[in-house]
Amino acid sequence: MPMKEAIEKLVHDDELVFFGGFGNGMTFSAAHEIIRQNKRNLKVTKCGGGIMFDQLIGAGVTNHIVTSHCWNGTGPQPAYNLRRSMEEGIPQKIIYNEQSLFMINMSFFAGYMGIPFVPIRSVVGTGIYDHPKEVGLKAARVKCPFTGEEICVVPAINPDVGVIQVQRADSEGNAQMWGLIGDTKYGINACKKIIVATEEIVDKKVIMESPERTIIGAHKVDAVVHEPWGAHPSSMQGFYYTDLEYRFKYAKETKIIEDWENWLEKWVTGVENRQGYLKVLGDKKINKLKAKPIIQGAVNYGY
Amino acid sequence: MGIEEEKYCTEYTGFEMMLVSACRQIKNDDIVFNAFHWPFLAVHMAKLLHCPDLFAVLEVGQFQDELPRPIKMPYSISDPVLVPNSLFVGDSIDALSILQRGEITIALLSTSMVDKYGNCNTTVVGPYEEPIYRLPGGGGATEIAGMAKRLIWLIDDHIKRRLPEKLDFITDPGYLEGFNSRIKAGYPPDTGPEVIVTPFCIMKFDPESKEAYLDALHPNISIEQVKENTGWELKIAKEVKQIDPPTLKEIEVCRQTMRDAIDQYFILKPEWTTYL
Repeated sequence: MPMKEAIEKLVHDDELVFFGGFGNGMTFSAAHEIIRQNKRNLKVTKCGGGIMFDQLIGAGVTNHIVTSHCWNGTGPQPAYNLRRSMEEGIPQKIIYNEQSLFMINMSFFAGYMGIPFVPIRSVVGTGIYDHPKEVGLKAARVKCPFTGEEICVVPAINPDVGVIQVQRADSEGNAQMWGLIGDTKYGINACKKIIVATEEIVDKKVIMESPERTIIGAHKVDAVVHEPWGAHPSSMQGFYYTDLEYRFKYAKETKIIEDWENWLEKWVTGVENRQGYLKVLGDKKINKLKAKPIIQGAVNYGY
Repeated sequence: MGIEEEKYCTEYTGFEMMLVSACRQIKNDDIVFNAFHWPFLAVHMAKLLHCPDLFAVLEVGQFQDELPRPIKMPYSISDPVLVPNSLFVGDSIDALSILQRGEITIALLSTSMVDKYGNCNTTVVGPYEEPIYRLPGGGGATEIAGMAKRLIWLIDDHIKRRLPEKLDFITDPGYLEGFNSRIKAGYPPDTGPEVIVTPFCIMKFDPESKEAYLDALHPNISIEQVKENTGWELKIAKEVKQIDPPTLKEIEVCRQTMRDAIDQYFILKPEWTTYL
């Protein structure tokens, strides 16, 4: 189904939304559709928010981010909407639910496993352990019943809805991702409702040729969206490289609020869908970013 | 160094000296956690200089011991170039578990602020509720600082604001309140910050109080200069060592690495790139 329909049906105000992709395969197309539909009070989560969360904050669709990092990795440079929100309350003051990278990954992992919490060795003694106060207890120390050792535990995160961008999926939603997965597999499997956006729709037989690349099965998937270039300006292994020039310029183009509003109009609210966005991006840039194929790794599955 | 007498570079920037000094901390048999962004450069240099076998782990889940050929500087930890050039690609839990199992022998982290106990703040300047300046948050650095055996902090500007006595927020754990407070918080006893490298010097940590002190000076830097620009009453080693300037080979690799980084949109300040 089109992204517009998937977001209309499955993402609702006030929900906790997971976005897949750690630098690579980020779900920008879905994030932009959420902005166009003017959702409100979403809680959003992913391991590194990057400029995607910066856009969700600037557009006013989220008031609560659950992440370990939110910045523009190219440069690196500030995420100016994050700063405007937290320093000046523009467009609103959000809650930044501070996480560490391991903490959030293990919280998704606990959600994936269907258990209430998992132990980790980090975060005690840091500000991350208990800030901000509004979000309450998000890590605790317990005594290991087997060794008596004190250890930190973090709770499961089970988002209401999640969206991922993958290389390929069949029409039922069996979805495959390879290369840099980051938190995507555990995060999406922890979600209650699931949208799979994919560069290519393939036959089920293609999925079965390398089943270990499947990160989520059709039985859990609520919508499959055929969305080529849905991860731009991040990369998608085997399809396109990161648009560093665009990401670099993003900082300058969003530093002051008026420029940010123009940016949002140009790339998000002024286009109808991803195809419209790609027209703004232009064929020249698209051809420049296309990945040169590196085909490797055929193996023998014989028995 | 070789039997032949080393030829040293005479003109270089403080930033270059910091990278060279950081790079020298890495040994060929180390297992390094390779983090964004200046450590990327120091690890890349080490690989080309004295650590051809260096095994590196990155946050998205890549393990590798070879640079991409032709040599390419990844723009970040999530650069797809890191996949077909790796020995293993898993997910972030794989990367952070190798750290938690205690297998990472060294990690370098560049950061905005480090206090006298080696704690780091990348969260907020000013009160948490009403920040003067909101920063990105810790990402994986919280775990890297928590669980790497030898932690090397890189501070690219040796000024009081970047090296304060106390932080507004602890994002990444150093020795917390000093003495045994890190161990009491549950971190493995054989982990923690080992040095802070700045353009001026190398600081180490007192084995008992865990307070950072001046251990070694970069060339043409005075003890006074370091003391005046550090945010706490800095203690000085009984015998302050002198660090060798970059060798010609080191500076050549350093500058090429900096050029490669600029090509990948890393922002380097003009005063760092005088000799590029």
